[in-house]
Amino acid sequence: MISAGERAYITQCVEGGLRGDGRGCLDHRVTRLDVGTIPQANGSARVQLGGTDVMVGVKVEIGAPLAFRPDSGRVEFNVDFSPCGSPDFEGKEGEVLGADLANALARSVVVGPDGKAGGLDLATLSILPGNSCWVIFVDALILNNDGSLLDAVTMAMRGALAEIRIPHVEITKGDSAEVPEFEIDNEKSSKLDAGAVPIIVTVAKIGRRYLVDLTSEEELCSDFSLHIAVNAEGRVCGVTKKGSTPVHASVMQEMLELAQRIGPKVIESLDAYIVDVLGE
Amino acid sequence: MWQKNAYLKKTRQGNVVKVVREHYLRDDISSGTPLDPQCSPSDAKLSADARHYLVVDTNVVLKATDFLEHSSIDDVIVPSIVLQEAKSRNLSAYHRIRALAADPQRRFYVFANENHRDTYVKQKDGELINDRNDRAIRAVVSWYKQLLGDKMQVILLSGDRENRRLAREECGAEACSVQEYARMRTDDKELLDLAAHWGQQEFDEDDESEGKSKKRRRIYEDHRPLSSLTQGIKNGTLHQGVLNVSRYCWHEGFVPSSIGQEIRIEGVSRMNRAMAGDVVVVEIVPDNVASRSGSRPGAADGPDADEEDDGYDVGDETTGLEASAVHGVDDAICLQGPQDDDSSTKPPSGQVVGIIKRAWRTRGYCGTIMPPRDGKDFVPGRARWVRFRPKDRRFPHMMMRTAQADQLLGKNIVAVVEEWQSHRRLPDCRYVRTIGTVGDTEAETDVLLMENDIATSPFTPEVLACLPPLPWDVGPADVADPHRRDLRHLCVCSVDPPGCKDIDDALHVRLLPNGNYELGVHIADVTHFVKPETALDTEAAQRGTTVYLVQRRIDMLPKALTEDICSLRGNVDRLAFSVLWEATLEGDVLHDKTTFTKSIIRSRAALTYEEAQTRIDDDRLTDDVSMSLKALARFGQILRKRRMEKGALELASPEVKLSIDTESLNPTDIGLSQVRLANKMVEEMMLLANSTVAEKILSRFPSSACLRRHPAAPRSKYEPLLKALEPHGVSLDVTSNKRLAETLDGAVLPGDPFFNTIVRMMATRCMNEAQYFGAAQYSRSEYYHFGLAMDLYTHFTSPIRRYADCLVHRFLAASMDQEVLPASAHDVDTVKGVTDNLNVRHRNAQFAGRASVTLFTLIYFKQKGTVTEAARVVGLRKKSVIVFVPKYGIEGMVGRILSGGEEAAKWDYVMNKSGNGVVSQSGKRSLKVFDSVTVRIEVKTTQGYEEEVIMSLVDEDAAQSADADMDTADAMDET
Amino acid sequence: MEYVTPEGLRTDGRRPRELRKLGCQLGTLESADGSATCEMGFTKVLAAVFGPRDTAGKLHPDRAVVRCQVATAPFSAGERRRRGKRGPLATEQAATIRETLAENIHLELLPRTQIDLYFHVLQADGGILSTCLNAGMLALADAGIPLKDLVGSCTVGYLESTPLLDLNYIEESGGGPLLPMAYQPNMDKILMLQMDKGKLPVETFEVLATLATEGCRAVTGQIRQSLMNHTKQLAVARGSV
Repeated sequence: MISAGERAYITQCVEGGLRGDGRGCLDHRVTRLDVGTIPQANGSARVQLGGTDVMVGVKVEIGAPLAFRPDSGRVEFNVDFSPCGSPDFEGKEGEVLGADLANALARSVVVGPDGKAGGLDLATLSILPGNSCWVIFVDALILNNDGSLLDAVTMAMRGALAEIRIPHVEITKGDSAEVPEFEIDNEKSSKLDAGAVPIIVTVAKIGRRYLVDLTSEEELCSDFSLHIAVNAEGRVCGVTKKGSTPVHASVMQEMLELAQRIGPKVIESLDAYIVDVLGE
Repeated sequence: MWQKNAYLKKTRQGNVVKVVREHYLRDDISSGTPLDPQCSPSDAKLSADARHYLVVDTNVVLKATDFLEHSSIDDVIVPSIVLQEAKSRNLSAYHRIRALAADPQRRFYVFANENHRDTYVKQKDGELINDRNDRAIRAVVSWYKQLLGDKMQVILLSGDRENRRLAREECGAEACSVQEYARMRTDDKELLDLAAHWGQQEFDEDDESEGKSKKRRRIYEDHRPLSSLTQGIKNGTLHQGVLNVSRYCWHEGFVPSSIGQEIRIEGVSRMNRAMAGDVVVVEIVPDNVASRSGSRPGAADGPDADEEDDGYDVGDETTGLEASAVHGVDDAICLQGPQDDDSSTKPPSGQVVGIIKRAWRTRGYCGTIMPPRDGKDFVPGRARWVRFRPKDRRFPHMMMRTAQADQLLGKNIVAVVEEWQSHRRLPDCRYVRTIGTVGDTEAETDVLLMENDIATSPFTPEVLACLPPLPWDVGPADVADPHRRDLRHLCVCSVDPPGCKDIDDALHVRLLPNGNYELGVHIADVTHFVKPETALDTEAAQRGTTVYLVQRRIDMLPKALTEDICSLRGNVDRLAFSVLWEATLEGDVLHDKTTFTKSIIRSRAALTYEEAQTRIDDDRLTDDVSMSLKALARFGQILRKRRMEKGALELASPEVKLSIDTESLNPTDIGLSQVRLANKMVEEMMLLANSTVAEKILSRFPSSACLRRHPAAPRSKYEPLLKALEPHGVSLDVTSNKRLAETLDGAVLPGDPFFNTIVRMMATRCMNEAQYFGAAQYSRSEYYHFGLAMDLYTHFTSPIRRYADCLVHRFLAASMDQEVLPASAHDVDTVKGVTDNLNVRHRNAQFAGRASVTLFTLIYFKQKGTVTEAARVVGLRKKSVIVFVPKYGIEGMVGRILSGGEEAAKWDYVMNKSGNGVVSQSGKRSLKVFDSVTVRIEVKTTQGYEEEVIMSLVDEDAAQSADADMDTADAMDET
Repeated sequence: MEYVTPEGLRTDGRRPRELRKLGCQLGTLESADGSATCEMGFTKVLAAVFGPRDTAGKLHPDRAVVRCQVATAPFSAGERRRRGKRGPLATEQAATIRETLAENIHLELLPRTQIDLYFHVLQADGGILSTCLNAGMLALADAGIPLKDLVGSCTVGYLESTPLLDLNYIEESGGGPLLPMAYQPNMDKILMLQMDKGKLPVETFEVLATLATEGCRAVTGQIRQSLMNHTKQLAVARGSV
């Protein structure tokens, strides 16, 4: 909750082009990325976006493809709020919030049934059509929430996905399609091509100003915001609108263009760091 | 104490789950050489004045294990990565190298290179794991080179040419192949021979041989990949099981399967390189093919067998061929008794499509090499392929490459199987060691011991340290023991075979004031000396049983215990474990009055069966011992009668008795051993003791007690016998032991007194083996002992020579709350492990004993010269018959032999249509089971140098035979 | 499976009586009153302390109330854990941790308050309970809660007749008995000692218990060191040094 005074203060500041922590409207907070924090996961990263602290661990396992896309792999999202972050996360509330975020991720990041629009070619994750495929489990852990959770999660996810190698699988036949046998080749594996996976840039409007990377207080002050998934080329891959206030189409357009400008820059700096850590 | 080590993560992708392990690198790993001042003397396994240090790679460890085991190889550094690789690829090689490293006599040092800060290498991007490991081994070489400088030469011993080249270039170290090294070691010529094997062919030049093998014609079908095998087993199209092979021929076998029937596998190509004992996967194949090859008299196994016989061209030499056919490819049907041709009951035929686990013996196979086929001599020193013939006919001939063929000829040697590729008609094997000259009694005995896996090494000092100091005598502590009753006042005596020194049982009987009799069985208190979980106990459990050969005894326990401390000798005080019963004059045992107690006894007399019998028979003798014996004999008869009424079987197994000249060890006489009343008396008392003890320990330890069972054989096992009896108008009822016993009694032919014995003998063979087991392994109804007609049975009465009895002693003592069982004895799995081993050891001991008799039979007939004797046909094979010679108690095969060098005997009998007899081709004469024949028994030299007892039909003047294996079921050796 | 080679090295290259690499970090979470990460080898636990504070829950008039919860990340183990409710094991572990750590707090100095302990197991590679206790210990210290002693915890086990210190997951799965211990070195008191799986002769048990106390002492040494370092950093940051 936020008091009316606080709200007025933040709104007025933003109108003047300055934010509570001294940033400009389109500046990000100090961002810290760690890749490979969880050796046991196939890919992992932790992002601290100001006070927002998230960890993403990705597991790659063999599972069954969806009935309507038998020749594709799957990506599954899951967001947990760690009670370590805040006692408020305990219980139902955290779960509902987590499910919301997971849905937003699924909508914006892996767009379309084949995932191509979202930057992942799910067809490459198929092993035996109709029987088995690779399933990529993206598990996000929210350690602290200070706004822009989806932005932070997608950043961490980019770091985690960059680490992933898909093992080489040899199907050593099993003519009756029930239980096919796999041989995993330990020496061969291929990098998951996740370069085209978008990140989410949340753009909000407070007063007449557009803002990115909102703190939780700022989020409470904004009437509505858009979670815009943007890829490295600046293409919009998905949009989720938050807040019930109706938006004029031109405003929407402006916000999208803003995200298209900012997104690639963020991705560029993330990738530069990731390459630094993991090597090419 | 906490050491901060840099750690590296190692990932391993298995089952698509990422596994991460820590890997600590250390700076405190010793180099193992006294030349290194940092190395503590206790770690210095290597010698300071070695010739040089050898670093071995995985290939060498896996393929040249024998080479490394040779005593002139020492000062070897084994990098831990090599052990890791070896472990994952061949567990037995791994254990052998581990044994070398643990042997204080050898200087093998395991260097933990993977955990050493300076020798750990990280896998590079795109580098194959094998290349990485080779690099790690080279890093070890470099490290040692740097450490030792000029003080010691370090040589890399590697089977990989590329690795050797890199070692020379990168580390500037000497590197050689095993062969090159053997050539370098001019001090020991034997090394060259051990190395000769892989020659320039298979080991060194992988690329070339690969090219060659592509050109080579595939002889056998490739085995299917494991995944498709498991899939097939899962959905029921394939069957997995252990391959059992005929004793007479290696490519006749069956696999017990889940479909309830055994699956027959006949023929070389269907065997598809499987060998006896392998865990194989079998596919059922249509039977018409099999029956065709089965019924064709001449070429037993179709084209494959024929090729086997003559075409065998391998390498640069072809070896003695026709001769090999004698044993390699004999008759198609090796099953005992007539073959059942009725297709409805015929078991399905199968083909081996995969081998899950090889049962290749790591201890090797005994055998001989066959002389060159062309009759020329081997050229000394030239490496060549020779044919190795295992002693055990269940295994195929093998090909061996050796440079000392001239020296190996006529020797018993040991070889191990290397591999069997699909383009090789026979498996490749490798020479391990020579045992001795063929025909030499000592060497032949060593062979039969080795074949039956019997440990003959002397007891280790640790084991001997467990013995009480000698001379030992019953001490005051034993007398004062409240749990030990002093029974020295009783008139106890023992009855055993002549020359028996390990006396484990003694008996007594006395009249009680109430008019009843007290019967007592006193068993040597071995577990008083063999305490659980000592070195002595472990060794005894491993050996399992004492092995009796004709001229020699291989003890389970050290001699001091076997012959002195435990042995219940006459007129000395000994510790015993006694079972005391009260019985009425009529012979009814009052079971509620039975007592068990540890005791001290003093045997009045240690008698032989013959002496005891004399005392029983001689009415004039009225001394205590004789009177006791007479009373005991009477009780024995009553007990026996009761047991027979319950359905116990009286069976015959021909126990051959050899009289041996003590000095020359040559047999002086041979014949069936005699069974006297005294034997039966002792047997009955022991049976009573065993069953009484079984009840006692089972009631106290219902899940872990060690018992003995004898499962009834299914009717199918008796089928051949029943069929053979038909023409004689005799039938047996095999539905129960009681009915069987009765019908066996009725199986007599007028004027043929020996007929009944033969029938009993053959019935015995149809039965299952008795086995030890832990009570939890079977349900109560399965404890039944078929042969003895007892609900419960165990072995209690021979702890000096059988480990099972020692176990039972401990159980009995614990059930009287006098001793505590070791925790392991409560553990169901441990008990199963111990009893499984005992069953194997027991069987091996019996085989060894019989093999020893066969050996001495041969020596006997060699001395005696040719004899002609009456014999009975006891079995039919496709083209031969098995005969039994009652006078000598021996058995032999009379049949066709394809001996090139010798006068070809014309054995032209083939099996008749109904399968119950063989008919000569002229049709003039036929033979059926139980027919009386006359055979000539002589010792002939086959294969140029090997001697065998040969039997041939006299009246036919046509036959020669091959071997004279003995086979008797052990169902009756129950006391 | 060979857990200790004849050369005396464990699967990961340690000797039987060596701890894994122990990592302690304080103040890892901004929002909590006290927080810490503890790593024992690859086992990694995040701990957060909220309180002492006043809440709507039941409070005790004479002392502080301690609550505890343990969560596990889905990616913490070899195979991904399905999202689900906390199992009975987690509940039991949480109770053990709560009791053990509460015993080390001067609860009587904080009447009518509540202290919440939260743990998130980020990676599991054996010794979870011990790692949680160590992380919790550090987080409590970070939160400035009055403690009685510097508790250290480690787990010992017994495999192939060898006492092993600080077992990793493979060793824990070896089937031998496991003894997690928490120990107050200055007061020389054992706060917690459990024995899971298997039976042991008393003599062996004593050997293991001694080894465990030694291990705990070593852990405490590390904990003390990282507390000192952290405090120094804080002092520098405040400009008081």
